[in-house]
Amino acid sequence: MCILTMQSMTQALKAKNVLETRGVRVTIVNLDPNLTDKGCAYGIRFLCGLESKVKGILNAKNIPYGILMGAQDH
Amino acid sequence: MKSEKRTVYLDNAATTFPKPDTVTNAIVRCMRESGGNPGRGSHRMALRAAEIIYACREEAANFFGADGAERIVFTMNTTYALNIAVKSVLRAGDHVLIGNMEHNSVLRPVAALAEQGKITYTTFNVRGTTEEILGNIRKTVRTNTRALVCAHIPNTSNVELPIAEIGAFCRKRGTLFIVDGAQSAGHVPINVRDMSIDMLCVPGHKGLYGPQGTGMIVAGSDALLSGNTLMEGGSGIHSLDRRMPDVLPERYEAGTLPTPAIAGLLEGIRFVKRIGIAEIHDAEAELWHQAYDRLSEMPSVQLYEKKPGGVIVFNIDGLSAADVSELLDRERICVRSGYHCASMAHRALGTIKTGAVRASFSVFNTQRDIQTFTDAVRKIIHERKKELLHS
Repeated sequence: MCILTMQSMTQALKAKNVLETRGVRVTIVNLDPNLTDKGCAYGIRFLCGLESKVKGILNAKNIPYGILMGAQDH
Repeated sequence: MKSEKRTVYLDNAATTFPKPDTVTNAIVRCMRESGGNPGRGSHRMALRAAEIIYACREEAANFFGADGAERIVFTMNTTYALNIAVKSVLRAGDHVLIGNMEHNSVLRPVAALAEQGKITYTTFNVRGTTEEILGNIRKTVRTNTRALVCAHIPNTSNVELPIAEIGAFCRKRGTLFIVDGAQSAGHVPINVRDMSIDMLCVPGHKGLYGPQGTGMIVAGSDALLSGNTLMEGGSGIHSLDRRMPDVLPERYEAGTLPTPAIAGLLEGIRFVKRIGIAEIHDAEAELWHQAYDRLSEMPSVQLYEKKPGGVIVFNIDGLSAADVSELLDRERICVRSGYHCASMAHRALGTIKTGAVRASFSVFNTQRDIQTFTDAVRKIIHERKKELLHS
């Protein structure tokens, strides 16, 4: 599974709602605090292989996101 | 057996009552099923609570024309919202313009900053035609005017300020526009984008029919992003940082949000959308006409508001406002007397020495309520006359 870090719980929920209306199943996860500079953060988890689609949808909706984890660079 | 008199609630400008059943049911359901802490962890109960909060943000953003759910900052009430709005963006040396009928929730934060020597403020007359009001603003605005703060509808009047026109003036000039929507949210349409409102401060428990303990700032621009925080604490994110996060809405939401209350507010907004603002406005105006027509037939009644809307403000000759309110309460009619936390408004109405009685309507009031209310006023006047004759 791949994880995209999100700015906040609000943005994670926004991303989840938008992605699920486009058929992308998403789970919100609490990230390991060591993975971020500032501690507690949330991410969205989805099937690897959908990275481009997910990023494209989020970009189109102006939903900010951070780094992608768990995926090979394509 | 004598049947108990029913209570007639006419203090809806303070807080609406009753609430729709959908609101009450949502609160109970949330208490029973979604008791996790929203935004604190990702276990199922925390997420369920966070989803309720998010759904309400989305509904509110859609209702008020905000560009996204993150632009809804939940507060305890309008007063908290206005304090955050005013104090987060004003800087030393700024000048602020406020209306001359403002509630203390606008006047006091502004006056407090002025007393601390940080800012100066001036008032402008909010009554007149749109052109006259804009003229009053142009006359009082200064080069260092950072913000204009005013009520959309003052709490003792049905006068609706030309918010879109004032907003356009402010946007053109680069002045922040902060609107107190305490008496307008749910009563008249508000769109922060179309009206160029930077920060709209509204209650959840009045015209949106949510529970007490709810209010919000609807951010119409990015002005809040760089603002100072009034409260600091847990935000669920960036826990290693000593500063509050620089993202909305978390920057201004320190501590746990009241999920059950927000669940109720969500249903309140849906209720208003289902009925329709125009229908609510018309229903209240019809009640106002009925009350106004009947009260104006009574020579001892002084009426202070001639524009139809959600409130009717009056006094009875020879009786204090507090006495009238108490006598009406004996008839199980709930109205509010005094200055309504708005000395500026009473000064403008000419009732600063006496205060006044305010009856205010909601969509749940009926013509029968108005009949009961006006019959009671007539009875009070009649009893007063009898007392005078026998004294």
